Amino acid sequence: MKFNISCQEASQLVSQQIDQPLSLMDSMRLRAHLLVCKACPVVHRNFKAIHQAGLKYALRDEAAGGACPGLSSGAKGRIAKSLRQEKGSGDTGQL
Amino acid sequence: MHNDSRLHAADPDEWLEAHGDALFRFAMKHLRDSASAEDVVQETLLAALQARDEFAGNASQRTWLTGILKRKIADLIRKRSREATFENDAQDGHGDSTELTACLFDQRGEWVVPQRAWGDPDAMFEQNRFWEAFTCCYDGLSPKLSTAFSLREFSGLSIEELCEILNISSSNCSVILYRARLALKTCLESSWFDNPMRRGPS
Repeated sequence: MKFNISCQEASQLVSQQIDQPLSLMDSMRLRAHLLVCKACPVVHRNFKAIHQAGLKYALRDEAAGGACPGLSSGAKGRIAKSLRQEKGSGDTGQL
Repeated sequence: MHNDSRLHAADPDEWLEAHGDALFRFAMKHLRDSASAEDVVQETLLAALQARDEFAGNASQRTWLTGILKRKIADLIRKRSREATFENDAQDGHGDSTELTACLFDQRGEWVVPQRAWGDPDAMFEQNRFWEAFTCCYDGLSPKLSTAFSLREFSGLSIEELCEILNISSSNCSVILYRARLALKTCLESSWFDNPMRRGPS
């Protein structure tokens, strides 16, 4: 495989590197490309920002109130009922 | 009884009241379907009830419950991936976002438009409007891309775990995550970075 890679290939490696270590060869290809390319180092930072945003987004609603409503009252009722049944069957007569 | 306080702390009604909505929203981000999200929350609380003796006081209840929820979400997606195969034809890796790649890169694989820096991520994350844009862009991903992205980024699974759950090869996993990130990047640039209102009050 050739040593010089395109921006498309480099951006794939940038994404891959967020998830797992690159092979030595891929790592060298990417580093060489990032040294000579103007665009890809920017993409590198932007992909990393998307990665960080993903981590934050997962746990974000507590802080912000969130656009997604919580459980509907119907669902809450159903879940509470199933929990009470399970608790009733598992407990040895407490309360 | 000497362990009354501990049993109180593990009262399932209290869990539902204190954590139910947050668990539901976390599940919705992965499953994007309220019936499935309600089911996994119920399964999570039932599993927590059965395992409440294992709850160690050194973790927060929310963290403990979220850990169980992540496993329940992964189990559901694993089951679905084996029923209707996630990777069933030549579409995979070439389907929904091939057009996007064709728009972004020329024939030699170089970026068609200049790439612009986004600035300081921490400052960006402070702005509600960024998160509105992120939510819209994430919701716009195809189910395949959003499922892979959510398991990797929201649940924090490794590539190996992700491939096993989705029942696809490691290289395919990487391609799907790449396409998800590329689609999010493109969408964020048009809906957030190109929006003159973005620095307005939020």
